Amino acid sequence: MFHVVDATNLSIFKAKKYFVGSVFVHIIVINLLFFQKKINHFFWEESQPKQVSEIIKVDVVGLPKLTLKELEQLKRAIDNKEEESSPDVNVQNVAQDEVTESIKDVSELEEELPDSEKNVDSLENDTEGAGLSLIEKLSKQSGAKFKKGAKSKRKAKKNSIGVKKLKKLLLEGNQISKGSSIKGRYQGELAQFDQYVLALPNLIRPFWKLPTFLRDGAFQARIIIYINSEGRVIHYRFVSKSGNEEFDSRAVKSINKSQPFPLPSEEIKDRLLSEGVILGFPL
Amino acid sequence: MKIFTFYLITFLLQDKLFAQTSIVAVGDATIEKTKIAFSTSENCNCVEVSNIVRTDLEMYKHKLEVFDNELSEIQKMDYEYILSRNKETQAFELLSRRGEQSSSLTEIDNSTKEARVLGHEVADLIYQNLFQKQSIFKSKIYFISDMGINNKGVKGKQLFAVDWDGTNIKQITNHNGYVFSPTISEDRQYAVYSVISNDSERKNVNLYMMDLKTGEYKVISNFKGINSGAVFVPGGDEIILTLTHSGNAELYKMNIKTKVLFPLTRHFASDVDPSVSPNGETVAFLSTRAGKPMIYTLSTDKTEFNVKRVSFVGEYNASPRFSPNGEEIIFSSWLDNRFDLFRLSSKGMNLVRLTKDHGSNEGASYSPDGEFVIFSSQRILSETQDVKNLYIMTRDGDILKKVSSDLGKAESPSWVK
Repeated sequence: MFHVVDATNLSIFKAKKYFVGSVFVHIIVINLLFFQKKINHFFWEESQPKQVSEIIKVDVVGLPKLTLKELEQLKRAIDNKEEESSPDVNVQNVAQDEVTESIKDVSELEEELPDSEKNVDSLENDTEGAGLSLIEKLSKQSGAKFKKGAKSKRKAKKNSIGVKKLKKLLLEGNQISKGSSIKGRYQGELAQFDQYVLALPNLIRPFWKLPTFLRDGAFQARIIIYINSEGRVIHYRFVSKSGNEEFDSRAVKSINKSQPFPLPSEEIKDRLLSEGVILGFPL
Repeated sequence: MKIFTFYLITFLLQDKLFAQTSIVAVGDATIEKTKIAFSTSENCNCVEVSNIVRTDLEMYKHKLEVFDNELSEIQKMDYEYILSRNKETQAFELLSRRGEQSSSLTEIDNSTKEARVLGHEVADLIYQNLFQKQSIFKSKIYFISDMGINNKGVKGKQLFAVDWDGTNIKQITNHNGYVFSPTISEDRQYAVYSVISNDSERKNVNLYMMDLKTGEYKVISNFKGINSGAVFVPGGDEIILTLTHSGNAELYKMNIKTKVLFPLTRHFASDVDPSVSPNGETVAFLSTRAGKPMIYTLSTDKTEFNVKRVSFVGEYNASPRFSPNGEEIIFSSWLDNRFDLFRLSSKGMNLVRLTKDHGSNEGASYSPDGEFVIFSSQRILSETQDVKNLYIMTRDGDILKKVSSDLGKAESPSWVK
């Protein structure tokens, strides 16, 4: 049996063939151009996870007035206030609170503070517990606000100002502005997924504890976790171990204790579950 | 068409296929304190030693929690270690609750030593068992004080040594003048210091070296002008010092045996007060290159090599000193009409303030294990009276104790193993 194909049909057939072929070639070329970076990375470079971090640039403009101990006391006070002011954890708010806005100068900071907070120098006149007295003052003024804060947006905004003031105090002596880095991005530019990921260390850190004999060991472990839509870790595995069993088990324990994490939004829940997040202990 | 569909699906899944996992840093862990309980009170003949051991260990309260309970109570509680004394052998025993460690501190000969020395030895052994490194309990502090009187009956400032606990004070030098800027070799065998002589004919500030075992001393540098600020380079026969014989204060490396000089700085500004990193490769020093005295670092290989500025603030910075691991520099800086102590990383990051409100604080030096800092603090009593004492604090600025009230006007402390 032979089919006789005339010349016209043959040319149409060839044209279709070339057209389809051309489309394929174009798709491939466009793909290659568009994803060149990723393809190069995939084939020729060792796969590296993307580090998610916030960046700020700190310009030191003077010696710090507060001592390290006073700063630690203030930090504890801030942490306590933040816990009180956020009964239901909203990841976006937590992450955005982390953003420290640029401070034009110290006088701007003083203008924003109530009279009783203005004169930071007066702390120096206190012979004992200068930091503590500051915390007490701040606690009295803002404590009531924090308790009621979650009820309305307006009140919540007031509370966040209180926390920001405290944070600015922590950075006294330093001027903070937006920095530049190829690794980090500003919070405002961060994707929802990154915001969620960035909030995780703050939730895990309270449970991340080591015995003193492991303090000077310079250990490092990395664990990938997969979080379900309920904010629970359904699976984890070590990407790299520290070489010390106690260190590794403490890292896992800190993850377990800090669960459940905040509920992921619809947009990111699939990615959290399929892609996972690598937690670096400490980096 | 099938191939086209395949490509389309591939195209849509590209992002999934090449997705990049995100990594976040959890950060440094909180360090839990190690709990240790004493049950030595059952042995009546070791109370004094036990008290010393306990007082010693409490110095490390930032990493150790010390309790004193009867053995029966201790058994019920959640301690990691128990220190007890064997009734038969009289040896101290350190028992671990977790079972993997049990140390009998038997090598201590408690029959011939005074309780203070024995207590420090026991405490040091316990510390080594817990943390696998030496403690400060057998260390010494060298310092300058005005309480010395030389063999001519003339008062001046001399070099002294004292045990870290403030006892066993000894006068080391006996010069007719003012000793300053002392440094002690790692093996505690040599001291190098400068002297401003009372003798009107000898105005030059010379550098001396003393053998601390024999008490013999000699001039090792007497160039015209000032020979001072010497520090030992770890593991060698070299020192780094400041000389002004060229007409400007510059840093030099000197071989103690050959006296050969090698210039480290050559700059129109004054370069003084060197401190050498533990590996001997980097020197931190003060320089007026920026106008005000600021801290710089340089490499010791060549002249003016790898010079980096690490401090950028402060009216007057002074006495930079490396930590034993070389990662930090502690220094004093003039702020609000007094000196206070500050710390930054050797790369110039993480500037923090350590002291405040308690007089003028300067001349800081790290303990050999890097956990503590000793410094001198001047308190003004009246227009004509002041006191100057040595204090010990943790490296984070928690002031723990005054070394002793019997050290005169003590300054320039140097803490050695």
